Amino acid sequence: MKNVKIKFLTIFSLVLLFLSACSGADETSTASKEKGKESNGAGFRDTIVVGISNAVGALNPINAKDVGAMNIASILFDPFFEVDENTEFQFKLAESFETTDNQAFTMKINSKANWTDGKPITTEDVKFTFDTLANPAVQSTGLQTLNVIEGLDDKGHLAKGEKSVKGIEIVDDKTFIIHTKQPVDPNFLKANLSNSVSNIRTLPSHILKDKDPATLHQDPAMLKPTVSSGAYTLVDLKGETQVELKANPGYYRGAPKTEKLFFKVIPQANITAQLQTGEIDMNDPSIGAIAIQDIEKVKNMANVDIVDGKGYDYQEIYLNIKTLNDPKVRQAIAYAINRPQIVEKLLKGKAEIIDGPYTKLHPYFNKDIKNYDYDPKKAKKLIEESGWDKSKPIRINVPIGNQVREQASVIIAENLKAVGFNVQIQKFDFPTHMQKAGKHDFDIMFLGIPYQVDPDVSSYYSTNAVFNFSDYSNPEIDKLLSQGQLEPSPEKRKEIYNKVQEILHEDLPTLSLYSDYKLGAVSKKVKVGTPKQFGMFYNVQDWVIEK
Amino acid sequence: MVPYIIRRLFIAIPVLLGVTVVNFIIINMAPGNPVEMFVDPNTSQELINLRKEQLGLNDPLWVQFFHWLGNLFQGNLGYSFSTYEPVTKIILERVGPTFQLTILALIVGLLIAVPIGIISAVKQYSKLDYFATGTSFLGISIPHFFMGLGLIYIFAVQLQWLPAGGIATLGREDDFFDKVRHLILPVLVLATGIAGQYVRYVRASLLEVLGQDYLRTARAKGLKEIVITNKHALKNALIPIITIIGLEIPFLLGGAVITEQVFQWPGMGQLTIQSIMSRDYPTLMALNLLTAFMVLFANLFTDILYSFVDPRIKYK
Repeated sequence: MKNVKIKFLTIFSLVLLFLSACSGADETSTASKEKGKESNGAGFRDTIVVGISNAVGALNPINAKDVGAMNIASILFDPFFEVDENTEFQFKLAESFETTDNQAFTMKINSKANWTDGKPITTEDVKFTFDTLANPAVQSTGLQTLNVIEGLDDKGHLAKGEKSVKGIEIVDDKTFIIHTKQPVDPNFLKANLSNSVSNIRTLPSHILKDKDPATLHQDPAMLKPTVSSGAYTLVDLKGETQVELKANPGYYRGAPKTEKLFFKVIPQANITAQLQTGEIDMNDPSIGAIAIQDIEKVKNMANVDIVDGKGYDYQEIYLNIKTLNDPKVRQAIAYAINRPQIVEKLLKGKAEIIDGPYTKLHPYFNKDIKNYDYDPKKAKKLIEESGWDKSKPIRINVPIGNQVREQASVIIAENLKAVGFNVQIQKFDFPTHMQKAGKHDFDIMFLGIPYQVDPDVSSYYSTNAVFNFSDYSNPEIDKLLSQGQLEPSPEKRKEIYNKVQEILHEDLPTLSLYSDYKLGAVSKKVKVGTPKQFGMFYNVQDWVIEK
Repeated sequence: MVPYIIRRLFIAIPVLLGVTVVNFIIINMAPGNPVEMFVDPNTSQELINLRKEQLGLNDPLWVQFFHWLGNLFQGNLGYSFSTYEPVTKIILERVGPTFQLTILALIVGLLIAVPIGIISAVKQYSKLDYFATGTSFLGISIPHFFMGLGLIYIFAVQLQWLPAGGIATLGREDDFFDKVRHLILPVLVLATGIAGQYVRYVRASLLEVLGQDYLRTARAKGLKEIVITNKHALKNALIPIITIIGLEIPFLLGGAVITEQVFQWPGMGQLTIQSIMSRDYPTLMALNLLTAFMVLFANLFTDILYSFVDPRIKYK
């Protein structure tokens, strides 16, 4: 009897031992914990916590895949430019950008810019970065959008036998020239060298040059970079829960005033609660906007200021050209949808209605196009004229995850039923949704479209383009879009894209629904630092928070 | 005993292999794939194909499987498709927090359930018994997410006594009391469900034993009722409970998914959801393998425990 008891006790204590071992393994390193508190003198805290609601993937400076990872990668590795809230380009790693012929662009790297190990950032690093991006063996987003650079093929890869990109010419340690095959709009180049558009962030060649390109993305120097260039350096990345950053005291645009910066991943529903309890100090609207239904609650919080957003991104529906082949049917759909109701009731007025691929603040937005109004009578008439078989089912594909969008899809389905369409909503998780999109296996499908600084929309509307889920093919659009890409003069480009918008408005391969404003909220203790969808982290080194 | 364990371990190998084959097929049958998910509008079809080629996704399924299996035998679980980190490292980081949470919850749940179950059985059909069985029913049926959000609202938002989630306050990761504060709510949520279940098991099992002849003999010998229940009856009543606990452990490992999600607990549950959503095949395969392994291991462990509790059981 006693024997059994002892055995039991042993097992029990073993379990306890095991448990305590687990708790030990979990303690993450928090080095400068004691010191940091005093670093700003009295009155300021050493930590700012930003709440986001999407998990963060790999912070690979040339292959960040999700918005969160792209934002944070741009804090670790400075891009040449950063887009601010007015969608203008601000210099970051670059300090000048000049051209006389729109074909040779002379750029200078910030003269004070250096890596965290003290070595200066030079044109050697820039050249290495472009060569790496153009190497097909490397896992990166590549240079396809910049295939206009001399020495690259259509896919943005190095031509066979070449070792380095011909179009990147080194002048001296800090000056280089980008040569393009033909003249291009300088803003096109700037857009592709800035944070939110591309994954072109200068890499430290002295650390990475001897690594194998094929496994570069798995190398610790890329996963947990110890040598970087930005205001903060990476301490710890736990993609589903938090990212910890620490100040880079030698940062060339000024040493950060707050020692530590945290990104905390929490469900959108908890963002409001954690702002209230002070567990987070602000949100990042691009990946953790305040939920629309929480606006009133946040407005009433004494410790938090609300920051309105602007219409950058938008939600749209793709209309399958092959199954909804009559433009009249597609126009009937546009007239049948009660978008004012969606914006007023569902989005509490925090959105704008647009039809085409540009929101109102986009420089290429065509003001002369009149939106499709909510007009069910006209919709019914158009259906009659087209001879559409009303019993034919229309499948509406909706990805799960965005609650407002899911609710909007229900309203839209009701609207379409009201004018006589036979619709059925099908909801899918995102990978499944995208697979069906790629196979054109839907009649109507929902997708959120991110803001693009450059007006080029060929990937959405050119024949067989990757995001042309509608399977739309119009030779005139194809011609205009390739003209637009090649046109260096902004005025002439504007004319081209005005025309593109007119045609798309008639053909309706897609209908934009609304552009919802991403709301931010920030603790009143934060003295410098504002949640913004664009340019939020441009001045991250100046952020301060009171105790 | 030892030959028995070795034999069991050898039987486990083909079972594990079968499980991995089935898992591999199911995972790959799910629509979508890790490359197309993250495609941005400016990527060409050629580039997508190139990426697929680099990840080996263009190979026939059986080639992919044997490739994976070959790596597994070399102790290599591969690299995550979404973070590029070695899968082993990712999982090792998550095992600790999950075990902390679930095993603590199991212990707390049992500490509540066993005494209540005993009282409930001894005082069968009393008001106390009805109350205990009624409450346990509530404990079983209350959804974890609902209870979790409710507790967050009361204790974190309204009273502000406890944190709303996470494993530690940022920057205070080695503070023991801070950790305990973070554990209270999620452990409470999980333990409620466990306690509710086990109250019923303990009660039923004890009731059965209490009716046995040898207990009547014990009473006839003039033993005190408390000695009879706690020493003679309980020990026998616990045997089936051990089986259930053994079977429960693997599910505790992966089954805290919802609780982990609500409390942003950086454990295996969160990892599982994230890797399903991003179709991170290597991580998913490793998680499945681990769960399968845990099921087999827990079964074996339970069988061995039997021989300790019940000397009549002998393994050859």
